[in-house]
Amino acid sequence: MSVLKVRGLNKNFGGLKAVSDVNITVNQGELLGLIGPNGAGKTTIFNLLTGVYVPTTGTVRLKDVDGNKININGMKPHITARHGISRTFQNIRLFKNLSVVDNLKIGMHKNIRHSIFEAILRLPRFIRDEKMFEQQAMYILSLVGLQDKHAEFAMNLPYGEQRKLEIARAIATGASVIFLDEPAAGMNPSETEDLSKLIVKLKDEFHLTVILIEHDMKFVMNLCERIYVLDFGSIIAEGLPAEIQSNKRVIEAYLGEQVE
Amino acid sequence: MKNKSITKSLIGLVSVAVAYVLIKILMLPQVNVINPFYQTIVLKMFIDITLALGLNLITGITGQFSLGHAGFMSIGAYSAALFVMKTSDSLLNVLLAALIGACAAAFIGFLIGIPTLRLKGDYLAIATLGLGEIIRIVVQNVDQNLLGGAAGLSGIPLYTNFEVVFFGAVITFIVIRNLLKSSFGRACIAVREDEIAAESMGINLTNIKILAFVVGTFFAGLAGAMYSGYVGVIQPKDFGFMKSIDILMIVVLGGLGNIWGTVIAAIALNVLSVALQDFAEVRMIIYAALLVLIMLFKSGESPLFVKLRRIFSLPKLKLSMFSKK
Repeated sequence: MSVLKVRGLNKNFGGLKAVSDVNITVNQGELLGLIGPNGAGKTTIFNLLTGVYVPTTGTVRLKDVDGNKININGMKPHITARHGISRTFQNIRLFKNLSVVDNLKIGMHKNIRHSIFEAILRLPRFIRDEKMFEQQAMYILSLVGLQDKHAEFAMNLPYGEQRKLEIARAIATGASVIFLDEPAAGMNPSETEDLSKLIVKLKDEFHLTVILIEHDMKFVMNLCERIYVLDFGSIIAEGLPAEIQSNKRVIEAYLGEQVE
Repeated sequence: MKNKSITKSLIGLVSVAVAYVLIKILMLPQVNVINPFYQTIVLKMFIDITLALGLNLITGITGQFSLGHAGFMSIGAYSAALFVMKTSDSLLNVLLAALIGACAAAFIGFLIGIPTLRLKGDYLAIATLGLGEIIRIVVQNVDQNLLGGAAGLSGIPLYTNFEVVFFGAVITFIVIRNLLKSSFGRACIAVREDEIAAESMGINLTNIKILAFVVGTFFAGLAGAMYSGYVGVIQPKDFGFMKSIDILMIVVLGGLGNIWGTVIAAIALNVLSVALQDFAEVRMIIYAALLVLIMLFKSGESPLFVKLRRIFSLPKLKLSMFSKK
């Protein structure tokens, strides 16, 4: 059962074809990897699927949180977020001057059921929403192991915890499909190990579909169930980790052609 | 948790009451600490607080630079003054006038906000600067009989007394504070911190920016309404670019996004300008020099005293001279 279906996706920046004719199918509950050399267009695909960029051509069909199938190509990021897509960023983009728990609550803002007047007058519906946000946020923080630092400013967290907080914030939106852009970048082997356990745990807990970009091959091969390989904007291979490892085109893309 | 918030609001209520009684006692003719001359300064101070809190929501909390705040103040001032002049200055009419002034400013703020808030940073600053001037020039030139042209409106009943400005400022403070500590306030801060991340988290940037702008201009209009009943004569030139800069100065001095800082800065700047009035010729020079100094110390992230210590500690001075960093 596919949750996300990308067909004929193209993106041109002027004369540059950043993404050309990409087809991706993501199954429900899958942990999918997207790899490729630098500049292959991985982050561009993430930006296209989350609405930061508008595709030149192509369709993106999403099965949203309620099970309805909708076209999300060309929608703005805040709309795709409402349909259950969330993401992290390659260069961490936390709200640095907000506390850890407030970072999560911002992800929940789209779920508020009170109006601004109720917020100003502190009416019951506002208090109920705030209480619910607090509980949910603390629960998610306890899963990623940041509950003790909930009052800390996000900018004061060490690097690895900032990465975790970004994942927690993406989950706090209540999304069903999560895009992780290089979650393990800059982490040492033991931190990477912890991170892959955490991703599996969160995926099972919240019934997520996870799509991740990563350069750490050991991490990708151990964690991902299926992998797409991207080079110069097109998909050059797709398959199980073992298949990808022995794929000739993939090796060529990373290491260059063999000299006869 | 609920008990805690109730205790907190009780403490707030009590401190407002204490502040009110205290200022009232100081104003009594028998005590005469705040004599009638100082009383006018106190009124101006509270109007400044109202103005600056509104701008702080737009510029400090939501991060949208606006240089047209005085324009919105003038809309509130003119509409409230006209309403009171056409009716009467009974308490009900004064309250209505304040509401009308605030709503008129908020409405214009809404209309202006939709196109201009697409701009960012410097571009938004220039656009709001221009719009502030447009408002002023329109007020000056449209319907001379009604708005009085460049001579402005005179003979406005002096309906603004201490109670009006005090409770005006307190209500503004409570609204901005409650807004800041709600989901909407967090969304505003998120927009300031990182627009791309905020949008990816499902926050509608346009809505939040317009919300902040409308609430901010609402209180500019309220302050304008209080202002026209305080001076009795309003002219378009009172609401020029320099007035916007004055308000912005309070916000920046108090710290962008810091609402208590805004209150303290509004008080401090008014006290400063009164303290300097004996030095007639050099007054503006001293005032400006003090501002430069305060900004020098205040800029950056470390608190004032840390900075002072750093600047005046010799070993560190020497170290910083020799180290390459």
